[in-house]
Order: sequence, then C-alpha cells, then structure tokens
Amino acid sequence: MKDTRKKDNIRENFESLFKNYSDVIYRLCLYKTSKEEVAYDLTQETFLRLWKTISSNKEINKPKQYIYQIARNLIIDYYKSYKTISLDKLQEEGFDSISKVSSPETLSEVSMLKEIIDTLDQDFRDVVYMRFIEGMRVKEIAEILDISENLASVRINRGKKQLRDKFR
Amino acid sequence: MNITKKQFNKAKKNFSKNSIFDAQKNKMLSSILGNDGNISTQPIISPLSSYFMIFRKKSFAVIVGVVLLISGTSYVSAQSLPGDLLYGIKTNIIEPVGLTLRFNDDKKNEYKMLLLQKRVEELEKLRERGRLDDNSQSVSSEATYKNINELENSAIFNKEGKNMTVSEKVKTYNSLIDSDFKIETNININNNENLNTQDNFIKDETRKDLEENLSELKSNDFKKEEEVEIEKDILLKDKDNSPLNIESNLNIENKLPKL
Repeated sequence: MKDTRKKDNIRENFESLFKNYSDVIYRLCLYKTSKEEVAYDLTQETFLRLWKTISSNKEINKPKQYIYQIARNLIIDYYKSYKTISLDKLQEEGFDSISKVSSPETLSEVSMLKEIIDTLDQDFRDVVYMRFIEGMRVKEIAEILDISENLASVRINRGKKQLRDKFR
Repeated sequence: MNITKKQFNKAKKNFSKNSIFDAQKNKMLSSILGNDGNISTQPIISPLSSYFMIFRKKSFAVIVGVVLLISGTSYVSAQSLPGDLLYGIKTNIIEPVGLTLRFNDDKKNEYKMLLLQKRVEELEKLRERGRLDDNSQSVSSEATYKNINELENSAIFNKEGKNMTVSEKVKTYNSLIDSDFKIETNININNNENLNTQDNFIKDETRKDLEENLSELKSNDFKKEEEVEIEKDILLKDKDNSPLNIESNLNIENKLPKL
C-alpha cells in the first residue's frame, strides 16, 4: 500500500517536471540544433534520463539544474556524434548550418536570434538566452547555472548592454 | 546581417511560442514511462525503514553472534570437569535449564539420575587424567550433593522406600573420592521406619522427662505424698492423653519420709 503511494508520488513528480520543463528544453534543443526532429529526440532523451534517475530512488536536490545539465550534455554529444564544428566557425566559412528545419519561419527566427546572441561573450550567452528568450527570473537562472544570484544579475546586465550595442 | 531591436524582439516572441504539441507530449510521456505506464522501480524504502533495516541487520548479526557464543560456551562447558573454569556454568546454568525443559516428572527424575551418573563419570575422567585433587573433589562433591538433594526430594523410591540405582551410583561415587568428600544420603532408608522412629523418639523423650522429674521428686525429702501423686498425674497427662505405664524400679512411696 505504501509502495503504491510512493510510486504514485514519484510518477506525479516526474509528470510535473515534464509538464513544466518539456517546452523549455525543447526550445533550448531547437535553438542549439535548429532541427525540430532532433530537438524532439533530445528532449525525450533528456526526460528519459531524468525518469531513470528519479525512479531509482535517487534524490535530486535541484531538478531544474539537473534537467538543464542533461540537455546540454546531450546537445554536446549530438554535435560530437556528427563531428560538427561550432556554428560560429561554420558561419565564418560561409556555410549555412541551419538546414532541415520544418518551417522557414522557425528557421529564420532561430537564425536571427543566434546571429545576435552568439556574438556575445561566452559567459553572457546562456544568461541572455534564458533571461530574454525564455523570460526566466534571476533566481532561476542562478539555480540552473549553479551560480550566485549576484553573478547572474551582473551577467544579465552586461549581456544586455552588449546586446544593445549589437543593434543598429 | 544587421538586425534591429524590433526584429529581435519579434523573433524572440515567435520563437518562445515554439512548443511540443499535447499529443506529442503524451506520446513522449508514454514512451518514457513504458507502454503500460507502470513504474519499474525498486521498492521504496523510507529513511526510517532503511534505518530499521540496518538496525535489524545489525541486531540479527548480534543475535547470531550471541547464539553462537552461547552454543559454543555450552558445548565447551558440557565437556568441562570439576575444577575447570566453565564447570560452574555447566552445573549452575546448563543443567538446571535442562531440568526445567523436562516437563514430565518421570523425565525429570531420569535426568536427575543422569546427572548423578555424570558426576561419577567426571570423577573417573579426573582420575584417568591425574587431576583428582582437593579442589576438584570439593567442586565435584558440591555438585553431587546438589544432585542428591534433588533426588531426595523426588518420588523415586520403591515400595520398600529404596532406590537401588541411586544407591549404587552413590557407592561408586564414594569409592572414587576421598573420605572427606564422600556423599551421605538417606535415600535408602525405609520411609515407614522413619515415621515410627519419630513417634518413638517423642515417647522416649517423654519418658526421659518423666524419669528426670521423678528423680527430682525422689531427692526432695520434704514433698508430701499427695503432692507427688498430683505432680505425677500432671506430668503424665501433659505428655500423653492416655496414661503411660512408666517402667521404673523406683518405689517412691516407700522412700519418701512420712511427715
């Protein structure tokens, strides 16, 4: 009886996390890979790994950070598996890395965002993306990136300033 | 490509609308959780339960250790002889426990006989090993007395009030041990004689009292004859309801001076 209740609790927790973060992770994967199918697969893989962890009774102190970290690692693995070089380098060489995106609108949107954000300093890219694209709060960003709220706030402000300088 | 702030904000707004359709989400969730949605997990153990499990494991290990220690000690002590370190455990703990575990009186008596036999065998072993000294004999004698007392309190006598098995064992025991430590027992005394002897003892004592009193009376020259008679009656009636015929050669009336 108790086991059933505990199992139900685990499932509920997982479903709650899936409901709250599946779209966020999907958009992150879509932003990084510019491919909807790949973004879908990476999202599913992210939550599959999360489920395996939760269901094996391991305690996760910061679920948001954990989910984000899984997604980022999977994205890195995806790039490694296809032996691709960084988008920056591809763009320098004139190669349009964005291809096979389902809708042209999405393609152009991603391309535009990436064009701006990827020109920022490395430290500011993630915080700017989270803050201005996903609309996350400073506390949330700090938790995900495992940095202090102060630092997150400083990076957001500096990134915002750099962003403004990019617009004509 | 030069992008305006307006274009950036528009792209940002449209991009943030990207999401997984509900149907796709349900499909994704089902494939993650499994086809039937069952959670294939190990039983969940709460911290308190895990504590108790650890505690149970430890306590089980302790219990097993204690049982092994007790059984080991019991085995070793069972082999011990008078004068050994564990002999006290054998005679004071293990053997009494063995007696308690026998619920039938016949079984108890059998066990008591067995213990007496063990005392004899212990002495024989001590003799063989050349360890029969005062200390070991004293310890053995003490344990044997304890066994004998238990036997004396048991209904092990035959119709004649004897138990030949016990008397033989006691004889054998006494033949192996020094005179200072020999066992004395009244197990082979006839029970009927015991009772008669007791009654006769009372009558003998009464007779002695009376004779002493009469001798006192005899020596008292100033006692009147009547007083003597009265005292005689009192003495007799006090000791026994039925008058006793005192066999005495004393002729009191003749000896007393006439007043």
